[in-house]
Amino acid sequence: MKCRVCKKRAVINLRAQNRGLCEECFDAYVLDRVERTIKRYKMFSRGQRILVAVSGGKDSLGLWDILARLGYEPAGLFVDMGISRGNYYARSREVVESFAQSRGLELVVESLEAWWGRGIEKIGRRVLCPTCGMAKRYLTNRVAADRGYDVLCTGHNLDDEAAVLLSNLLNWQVGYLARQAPVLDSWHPRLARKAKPLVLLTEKESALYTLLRGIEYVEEPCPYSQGATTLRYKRVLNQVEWRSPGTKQRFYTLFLKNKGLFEGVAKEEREGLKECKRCGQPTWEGLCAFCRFMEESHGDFGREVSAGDQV
Amino acid sequence: MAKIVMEGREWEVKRRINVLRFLEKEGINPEEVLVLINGKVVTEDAVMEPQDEVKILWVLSRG
Ligand SMILES: [Zn+2]
Ligand SMILES: [Zn+2]
Repeated sequence: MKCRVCKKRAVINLRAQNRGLCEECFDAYVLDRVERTIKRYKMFSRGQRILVAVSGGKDSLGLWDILARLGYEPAGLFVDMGISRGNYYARSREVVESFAQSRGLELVVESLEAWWGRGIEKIGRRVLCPTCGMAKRYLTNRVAADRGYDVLCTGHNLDDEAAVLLSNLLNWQVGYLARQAPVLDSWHPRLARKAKPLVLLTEKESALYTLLRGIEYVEEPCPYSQGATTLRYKRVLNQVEWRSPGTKQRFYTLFLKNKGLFEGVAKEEREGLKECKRCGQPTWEGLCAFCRFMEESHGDFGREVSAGDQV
Repeated sequence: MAKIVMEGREWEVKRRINVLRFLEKEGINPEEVLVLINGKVVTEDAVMEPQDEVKILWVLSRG
């Protein structure tokens, strides 16, 4: 197959767009696509303070690389949850640090231990993936909001978003549907504005970009990962995609077009918000999920550090 | 014989074969993999020759 643009040998067949692209044209395509996504959804602009949540995986490192090449000035944020099994966080951190160093990018490193005196493996009896994810989102948001970043970016791609959408629809999670978006405004001083600049790139495109750029990343998931359900939905969607190219993108972008359907729910949720009694984060309960979890894990917080001291 | 590896799985193919035919035969969805022949990323219409080293990379993250 030849490149549609320059006739050189193609490295990818973009079936949804009915064209092949060579290595250079694919690179240009990715940069252009991400730039358009940022503009189309009014995510952020040059000169703003941008924070990218980096895990060490292909999508987040690829995103960080793309934003830097596009002339934004993204800092990276790595949150160490204190998982030592398989040396997981130590290896991820190494990969992220060497990436930042080689490109002269600013990296912020935070750890659950620095905030609470211990890592997630030491809290409660079992480490549960959803709990760790919740705590990680909490810390990520805190760092972004407390340090005054204009926007927090994550590396979610089209396959991630389409799979979450399918899952939310199959379970009619209207609250989640109301909140699922490529960009979320901050509607509270303690909530960071969030953006997902890779939402119009498929996982295959994201992987190819990272490979062609020679970016080193951690391939395996976290040793405690329970991402099996999302993976199943991704595979189902890819089966449909193979038969009808473009399905994933239509599924996601038409959902965004029709999101007004859920505006009532979204408004109701915003109006029901209170502030967490412990930390001031917006929540629907007296305590936010993070503080509630900390209290339930036996009320003993070790040498708890006041979060305010950290920033 | 073309040697094909994918995450611990291995095949040896004696005749030249089209990438797409191979993937379909093995039940691998082309949307979910990148195929490298002798270190170069190729599209599904490429042909694997008997002397080629082929690597198939799974692209979906599991976490
Ligand atoms: Zn080209
Ligand atoms: Zn709280």
